Amino acid sequence: MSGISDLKKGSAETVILALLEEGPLHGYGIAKLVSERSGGALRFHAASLYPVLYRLEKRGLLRGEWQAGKGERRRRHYRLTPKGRRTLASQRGQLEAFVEALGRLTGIGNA
Amino acid sequence: MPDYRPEVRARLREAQLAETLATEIVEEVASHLRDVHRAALANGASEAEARLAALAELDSDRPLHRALPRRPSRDASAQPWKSGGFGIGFPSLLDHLGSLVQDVRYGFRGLRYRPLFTVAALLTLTLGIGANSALFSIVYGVLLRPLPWADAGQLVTIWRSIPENPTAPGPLTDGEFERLAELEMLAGAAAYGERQVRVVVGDVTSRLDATPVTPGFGGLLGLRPEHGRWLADTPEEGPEIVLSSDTAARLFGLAEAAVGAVLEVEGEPHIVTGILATADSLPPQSAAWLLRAPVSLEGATMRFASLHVLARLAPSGDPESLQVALDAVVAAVSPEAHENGTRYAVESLQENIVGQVRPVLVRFALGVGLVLLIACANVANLLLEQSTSRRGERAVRRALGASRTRLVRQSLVESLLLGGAGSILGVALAWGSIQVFIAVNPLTLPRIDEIHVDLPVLTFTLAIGLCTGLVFGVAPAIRAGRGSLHGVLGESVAGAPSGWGGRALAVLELAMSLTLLIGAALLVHSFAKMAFVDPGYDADQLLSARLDLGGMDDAATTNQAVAEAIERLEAIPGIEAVAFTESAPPGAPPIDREVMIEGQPLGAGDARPRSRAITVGARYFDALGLRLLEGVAFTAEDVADESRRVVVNEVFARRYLDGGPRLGRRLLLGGRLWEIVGVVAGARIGDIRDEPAPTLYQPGQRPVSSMTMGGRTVRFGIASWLVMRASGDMERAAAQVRDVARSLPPAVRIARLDLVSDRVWDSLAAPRFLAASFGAFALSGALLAAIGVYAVMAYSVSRRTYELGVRMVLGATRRRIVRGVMVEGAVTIVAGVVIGTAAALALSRSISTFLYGVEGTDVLTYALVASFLATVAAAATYLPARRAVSIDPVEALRRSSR
Repeated sequence: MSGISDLKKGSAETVILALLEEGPLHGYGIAKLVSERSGGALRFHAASLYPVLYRLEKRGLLRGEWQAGKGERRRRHYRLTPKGRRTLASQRGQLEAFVEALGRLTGIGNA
Repeated sequence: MPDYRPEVRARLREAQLAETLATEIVEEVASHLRDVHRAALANGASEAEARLAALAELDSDRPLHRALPRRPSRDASAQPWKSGGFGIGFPSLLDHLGSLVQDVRYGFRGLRYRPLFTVAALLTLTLGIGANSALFSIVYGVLLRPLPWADAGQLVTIWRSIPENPTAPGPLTDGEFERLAELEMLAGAAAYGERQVRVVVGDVTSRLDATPVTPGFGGLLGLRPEHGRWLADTPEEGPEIVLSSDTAARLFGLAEAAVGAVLEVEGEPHIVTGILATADSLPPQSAAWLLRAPVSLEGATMRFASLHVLARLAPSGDPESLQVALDAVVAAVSPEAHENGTRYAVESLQENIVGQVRPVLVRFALGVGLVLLIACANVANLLLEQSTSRRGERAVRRALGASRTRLVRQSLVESLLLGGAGSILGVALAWGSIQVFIAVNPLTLPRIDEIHVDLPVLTFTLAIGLCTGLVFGVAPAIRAGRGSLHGVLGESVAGAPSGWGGRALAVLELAMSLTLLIGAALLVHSFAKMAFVDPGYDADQLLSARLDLGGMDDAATTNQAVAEAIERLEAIPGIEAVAFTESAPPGAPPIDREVMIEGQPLGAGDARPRSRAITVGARYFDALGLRLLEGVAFTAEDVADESRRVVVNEVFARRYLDGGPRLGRRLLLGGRLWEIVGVVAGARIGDIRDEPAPTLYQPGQRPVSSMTMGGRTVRFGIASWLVMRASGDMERAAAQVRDVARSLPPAVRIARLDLVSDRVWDSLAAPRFLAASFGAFALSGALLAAIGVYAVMAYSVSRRTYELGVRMVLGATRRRIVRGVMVEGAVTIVAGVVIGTAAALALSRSISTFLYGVEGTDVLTYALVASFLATVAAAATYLPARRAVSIDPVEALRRSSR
């Protein structure tokens, strides 16, 4: 169950922030990427995904904007704010420190 | 492509968002669903399946509209759709209900996914709750349920209390009753006696425990027969009788059919006027009631104390002032009796009926209460362990937006579900065990008909089920509220520093189960002492027969018939000795009487010697196998003539005949002089638990005597038994006795024939039941506690897999690891044992009245039980310790580092 262990390494929020670091995404895109990258082990339902997105937006970590491509319906795209980027960096720092400590302690590298 | 906007909008309605905002959200989420729909179609789903997949996106344990109000609204200008605000009202009741239903659904799902845990928890709870529910229905029916009679709280019993045995209710005489009935403090009084009567219906003869009552009896209690009416105070058409519904059904088939029937009672026709419900009966086991004909001769009321007096306190009266008034009566009527401590005792009727069994039931309540507490601790432990292994799940839910309170609530809902299910199963268990209990009635409880699983019992059970759920659910719920993803990671690295909650519970479980075990061990030990006590007679080779002496038609005929019966029974091969006695062992001890002994002057203030006195036939000592230590036993002539010779037992001789010759001494008993001709070994002819008391045996074999007073002949009967010593197979001997008994004259009938060893065993039914049930409680408690210790240790080891792995990699030997785990377990065990021992010591006084031949602080019992429990707990620790070292260290590190 690699999906579960992936989850342990970062909260849902961290996961979302990390995905957005690669560029703006709409809600469905986020859900799709999470599912794909976790091999289907981790899934966001719309009912739980949007509340997290709105919460992150409230904390100023990301910002949503309506955009419409040619001949498409408009979608709300989310992008990382500078504050979001900083938060992600610090969360990622903790994660890396942990993984590194683990490696030093066990000598078996990143499991 | 379906339009999902209406679906989403419907789910948002309850959030009461501002219209612009709602529109935005609806659009965004509906668009998401359309994407899901399209993707599903692309993957080969049908239109319907795709629609289902899309709608599933809206399902969550946290409904969309509840999650939304937490939405951001910091920068209104940048996000115009927020400018309208959220318009959040107070969450409606419906809202709460909706999410509660979801919590319950979620709880059920959680329990279903963990069948092993659920079954273990439910079994534990069912046992704990079921035992409590059963006991409550007994306690409620017997002790708490109001008595069935009108305004029963004002009813009291009045009895004579004598200084030698102040708590034994002594009956009153007619004269005393009449005097007491006149007291102003009483709104009414009535009395009843006891009488066995022979009744004839058609050609069937049977004996009933009847209750002769004074005229006001029915009115005083407000008795309303189920059918017919109560006895008239002055019957116009001859004697009347009221039957209990059980008796009526037994005699007449259908209870109603009995009303108006004529019943022959001791040869005199009585009209059945009414049928009284068995539950309304007083005394509870009475089969029939009839008006009492006072034994009066030529206008002089005989001074037989045979009445149980009932009275109703006047509205202004209370038991205390009644007691004062009664003391004054004694002082006025008999200053002498008042001086030596004789008094009339007042007791509420309820207390009179159930007072004796209350202490036993209270101990029982304590015992099953402890079992339930242990069960709670155990389930709490299981839940804690579960909650830890579900940390991941919770952390994810937190991350996905579930609030802390929501998680706490869900955890609690799950516990309450368990408690509720435990209640339902517990009631079933209680119902089953109560049926068995009522059928056996091992404690010979009064009011056993009042025991039902009814509304109060159901309420109680549900209440303890929910309380139990709360009690064991709180700790895990608090833990559920804690913790984040970060915490999950941190703990698995740092290696289980906490877990004190689980350990404290294990200590508590061990302590409580030790307390129970010690109590049970003391009771079992006592019972073993009782069962193996040497009664001083040969119970295994002894038969006892209770005689039914017909209507005592004629003293001479009856006594002759008894003598003949003895001869014929003695002629049976294998029957070695048959003797008449007024009390066959084991049974109520013969009454204590005062004796004065020749050559033993009494100083002023010296207590007069007292001794049991019992009438026995010639071969009584042979039958019981009592060794004659000195002198001679009775001859047939002694018995036939009722000579004034007595044989005393060893205890009597030691206590009262020291110094000087024992034989030939004379004593004064009942106004007559008797000569001591023999001394026999002491025996426990009363209750098997009582040490042999001073006893003197008088020769006699006349169950019925008669005397003529004022031209009328009055007959008196004494209780009549035969004791028979048999050799060889007792069952065969009994069968032969039955054969012979069938051909005995009708004046002598054997009402019941028993092996005395069976009666000894039966006489210990109550302590046996007490020991057995406490044993069962205690063992289940110990089992639960052992499981609890196992769970805590297994949990601790599994949490420390990583740490243990590191230690093994760093070179710790397996032995050291096992020792480390065992030491950790030992701390828990020692703490439990110390606390449990202290609690048992503190409670030992409360069961001391049920102990026999064992001290409540018996060191050996304490030591044995403590080491037993410690061994079991150590075994429960050892298993996880073994598991700890059986894992591959590298695998351990790999697992916990992930």
